[in-house]
Amino acid sequence: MRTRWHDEGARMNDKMKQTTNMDPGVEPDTAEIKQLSPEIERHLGSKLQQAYGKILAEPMPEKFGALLKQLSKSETKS
Amino acid sequence: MKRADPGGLEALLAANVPNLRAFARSLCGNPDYADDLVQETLVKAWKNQASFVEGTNLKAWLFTILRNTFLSDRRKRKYETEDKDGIMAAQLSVHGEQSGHMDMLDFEKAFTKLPHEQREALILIGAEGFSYEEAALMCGCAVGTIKSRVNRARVKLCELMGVDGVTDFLAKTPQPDADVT
Repeated sequence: MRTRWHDEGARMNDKMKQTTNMDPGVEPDTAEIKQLSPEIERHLGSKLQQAYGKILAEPMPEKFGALLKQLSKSETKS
Repeated sequence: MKRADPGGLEALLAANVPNLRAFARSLCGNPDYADDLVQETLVKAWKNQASFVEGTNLKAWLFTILRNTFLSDRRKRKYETEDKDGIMAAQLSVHGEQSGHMDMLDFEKAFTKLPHEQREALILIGAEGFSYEEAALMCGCAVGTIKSRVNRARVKLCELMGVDGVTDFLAKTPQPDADVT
């Protein structure tokens, strides 16, 4: 039993090698797309949200409030 | 947007400033330039408020104005931060190849090494929670393009960070030809 599975596996591996060798000019775009595990995606997602959240939490500089007020005033005047 | 209620628009725009600043900074990596982009976006949004379709996503509309402003600046080569980033990234990868393994970077540093299209896609999807369809509309590209940008960004981040446990995670993934039985 075991030997058969091993042979099967070896044949599969050879086939895969052949396919890879036969196809040297794979589009880099499709070739480099790996699928990351959900754990890694979650890990990266929380890092991203942490980094982004830090900027979101910064107090809004006064210049933006002033600009909006100015825009608002010019609206009422015109 | 109702022109009869400019006070309402003022409040709506103000509420979006933090997100616009965070998005701008993620795109260009330079806080001063990012704030310039946000100011320009607010002025444009105000002037073009009649072209906003009521009932659609205001934040998406504002983000689109901001990214278009950023891209048009880039085309004009008004700001060259991005290009310097590119050169730094190139130097880093050469160094990485020579020394045999890439130094680990923290997330924020690794993020700045990504091409701006990938940073943009990652922020829209991963940080702002837009759908792939919304992001594709905002970026004027196909849904599949956004998906592949997000994916490539994640893979690149893993490479750059040598993420804690990425290799462990990958090792745990069952191999198709593993001798289980």
